[in-house]
Amino acid sequence: MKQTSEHFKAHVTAALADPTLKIALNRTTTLLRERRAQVIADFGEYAAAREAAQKIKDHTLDNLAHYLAMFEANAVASGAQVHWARTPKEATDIVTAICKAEGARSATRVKSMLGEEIGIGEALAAAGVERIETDLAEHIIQLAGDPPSHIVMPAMHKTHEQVAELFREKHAQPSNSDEIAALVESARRELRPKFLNADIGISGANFLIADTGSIVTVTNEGNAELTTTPPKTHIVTVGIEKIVPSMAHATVFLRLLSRAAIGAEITQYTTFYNGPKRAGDADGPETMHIVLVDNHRTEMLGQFLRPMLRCIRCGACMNHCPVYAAVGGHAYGAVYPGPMGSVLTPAMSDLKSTKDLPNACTLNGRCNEVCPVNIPLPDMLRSLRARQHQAGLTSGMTRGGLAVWGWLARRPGLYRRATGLAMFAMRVWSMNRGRIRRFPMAGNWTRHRDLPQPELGTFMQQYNRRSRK
Amino acid sequence: MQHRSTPPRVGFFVTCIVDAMRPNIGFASLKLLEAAGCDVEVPQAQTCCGQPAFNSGDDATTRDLARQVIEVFEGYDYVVAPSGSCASMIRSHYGELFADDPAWAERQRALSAKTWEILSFLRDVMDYHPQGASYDGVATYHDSCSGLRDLGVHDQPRALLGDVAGLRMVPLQGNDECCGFGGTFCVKYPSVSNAIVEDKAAKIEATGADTLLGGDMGCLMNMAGKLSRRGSDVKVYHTVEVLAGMADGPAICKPEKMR
Amino acid sequence: MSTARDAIFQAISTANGAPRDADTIAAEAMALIATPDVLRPGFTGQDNLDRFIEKATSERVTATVSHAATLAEVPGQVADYLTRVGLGAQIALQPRAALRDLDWGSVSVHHTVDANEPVAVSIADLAVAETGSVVFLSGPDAPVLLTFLPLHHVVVVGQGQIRRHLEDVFEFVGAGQASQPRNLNIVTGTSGTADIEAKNIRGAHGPRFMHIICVADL
Repeated sequence: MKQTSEHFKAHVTAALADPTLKIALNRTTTLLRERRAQVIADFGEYAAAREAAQKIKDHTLDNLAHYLAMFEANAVASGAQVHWARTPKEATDIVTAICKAEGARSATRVKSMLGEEIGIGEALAAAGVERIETDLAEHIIQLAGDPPSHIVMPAMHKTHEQVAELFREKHAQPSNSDEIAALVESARRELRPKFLNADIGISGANFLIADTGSIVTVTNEGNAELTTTPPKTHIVTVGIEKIVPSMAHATVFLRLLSRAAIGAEITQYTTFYNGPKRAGDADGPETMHIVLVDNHRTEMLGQFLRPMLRCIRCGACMNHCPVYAAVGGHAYGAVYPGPMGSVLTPAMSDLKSTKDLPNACTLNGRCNEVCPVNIPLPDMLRSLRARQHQAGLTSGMTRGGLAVWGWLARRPGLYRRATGLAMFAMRVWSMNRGRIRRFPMAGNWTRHRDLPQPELGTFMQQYNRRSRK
Repeated sequence: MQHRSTPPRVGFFVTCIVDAMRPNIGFASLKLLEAAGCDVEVPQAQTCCGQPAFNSGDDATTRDLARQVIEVFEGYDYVVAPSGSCASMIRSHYGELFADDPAWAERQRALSAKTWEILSFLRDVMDYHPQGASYDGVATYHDSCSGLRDLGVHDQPRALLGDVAGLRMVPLQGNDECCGFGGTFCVKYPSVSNAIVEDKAAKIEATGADTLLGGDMGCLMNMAGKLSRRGSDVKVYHTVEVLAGMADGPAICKPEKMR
Repeated sequence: MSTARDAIFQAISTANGAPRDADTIAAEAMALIATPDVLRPGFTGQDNLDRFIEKATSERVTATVSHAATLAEVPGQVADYLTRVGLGAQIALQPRAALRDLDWGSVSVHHTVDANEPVAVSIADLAVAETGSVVFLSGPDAPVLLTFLPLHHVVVVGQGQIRRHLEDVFEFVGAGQASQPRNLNIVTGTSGTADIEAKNIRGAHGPRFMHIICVADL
């Protein structure tokens, strides 16, 4: 997708004017928050597991070269072909070259955010390969021509009524009911034959296991295995930070990922893949390619954004973010929305065009609290603001305002007189009504809410008056 | 619980927003701190902790203000502020500012360690139990984010309010969810902030409570301003005003003539 | 090898400094999971079978369970299941000797799996008490698609195959060793989706129904 984060404010205006979006976001975030809270409350060992998960990721990042080399050797020993890509372009070039070599006309795909990140959809289209999205949500947004709005539930912005209308228009045998179960059945009918006839199956990976060379997918629908088994070629595109030392280490994350993402103890289907089909196997692909992608990850490894590489893409931060819940994922204009996206998007593009993202946050800390690997998202967003300030990207108004206020705040006597005067003016302006409906320079506040009438005298003025008595 | 022969010397940090918008919170705080057995002083050279600059990414200005706060308050046994947000700025975030300045870092660490949000200070340090406070009403509670997540302020206000005669507490759905204030956020992204506080106000009204209590004037002003704009009758006070028996004056955004 | 590979390793080395020796790294990695019991749900006082059944039949996992003394009882139970859910007496059967050799009586058996297969019967290699999961290793007599294409999946689980935790499964398949099967499928109930308004719906792409036959002596 084309990144449009520079239009964040315009996106927000559009999002807030869309009553259907509000309904969709409300229904979904409410359910996801409730389910997560319940399943975490039932998991007595959660705090210890979360701490261990953080440590395992930190350990793996500290020894990243060691584990990547180990993974590569084991994956090759299992019969997979391993490729390396520094950029999205390098990654998609590898994928399309494989498609070309195989003479592939169609590819089924199981959703992966890395795939979105490198623009695999556009690349396949340019290479003339029909792309069939198999995750229900990805199927919905592919039919609608929408970008994803959430990393776990890409069609979160759609109500079931909208999906029903879409399926009636696009499906060969649509259901005549708007019930969610009927919509799911309609998608099953539509996609079933496509699974079995694709030339290529493309997946991402939730984890890479260093000591076996396995890749792991986690789904609830079972579409990963239906995507990666029938075609003669299985291509995996995956970020290098997904690596963990062993299957036992991965287990710590499997328990956290599903709980954080959807409030379930485990997802329905967890599959470990080792190379292509074995001699004599009943089914499975003839070849397996694994494309390991950097795309700014090694850059992040060397700076303050390093903890972001712990991210396991559960989406809990966005499910619990008040800003995300108000405006939805499309407002961010990037592959990764919400708090984690507001860190990743600047890191993967530039500070300037993504200027709003780190600022559009109340720093309330909920995202860090619910993060299963304890990423200090608010601190990183704050640090990004500091880098914007250093780079001179803050608006003249903000800089000027801060300068004047900062100058005054360093002169307590003058500050006391200035605040005293300002509050007195505000008090007069209030006409003793208790609240102020409009006030010069405070339009962004008073457009939506009242200001209180200040007391007669600031605290310091009143205190000093009383002390003198 | 403090067991000392001489009362602890507390430097009261009123915070810029309480200083300007709601001095009553400051006086209620002084009353409670004295009742709890503290020797309280209000240093004259105080202004702001620097949080607006910090959250805007202006680290240089923040550092200047942080040095001022350290100089003014480092002589006290404790620094207490009627705000989880400002207390957390000093306690949890000042450390980031002096990473490259060992001399100041040491002074900063000493100050951060003795800085407290008032409700947790009263309960956890002074083991204070309000005497004779009463409030006739049904209240619900909003947990402001910095106090809750950075400082663990949650049980203390509820315990303190449990000793207030006539006060009945009802739970607020989403009590630990942000109200949309976010300091400068609310004026930088007014429409988003509004969407969040509209939702919060609706949840407050749905409790049926006649009073909303909390521990941070910024958040309270945001919610009171929204409730007032919606024409709601819900009265909004800082917790210390109720604890100190000083919630007899006008609630936030309510006219003085109601007195 | 490839320039991209070199560049990535170079960038990692710039960020991380010189690599440490492999033994130190391995020891540190093991220490992080040395006490797995503090990191996973405990269910002391509940044996593997009870926990497995409780989880497999939970609202979230949605399987049904019946019990058999030996494998010989399986065909009869499958026939009962087919009658109960109103399906014809035909099954796609995992081509594993233990199942092939049974007397299937009136139930007609085939070993291919059709795109719209109504029901498949297979033996799980393992099961997991912690989560109520069944585990399949792919192989010549264990097609992967048998687990994913049918609408009903009847799974035979030997009581002795139930492992306590997920980690125990990996020990069994020889984690850390090369030449594992292509697929290790850990299946917990039926195919589901919450992609529309977060409502949980069954039968997304894979089975909508799972029935587990617990065999005391496999």
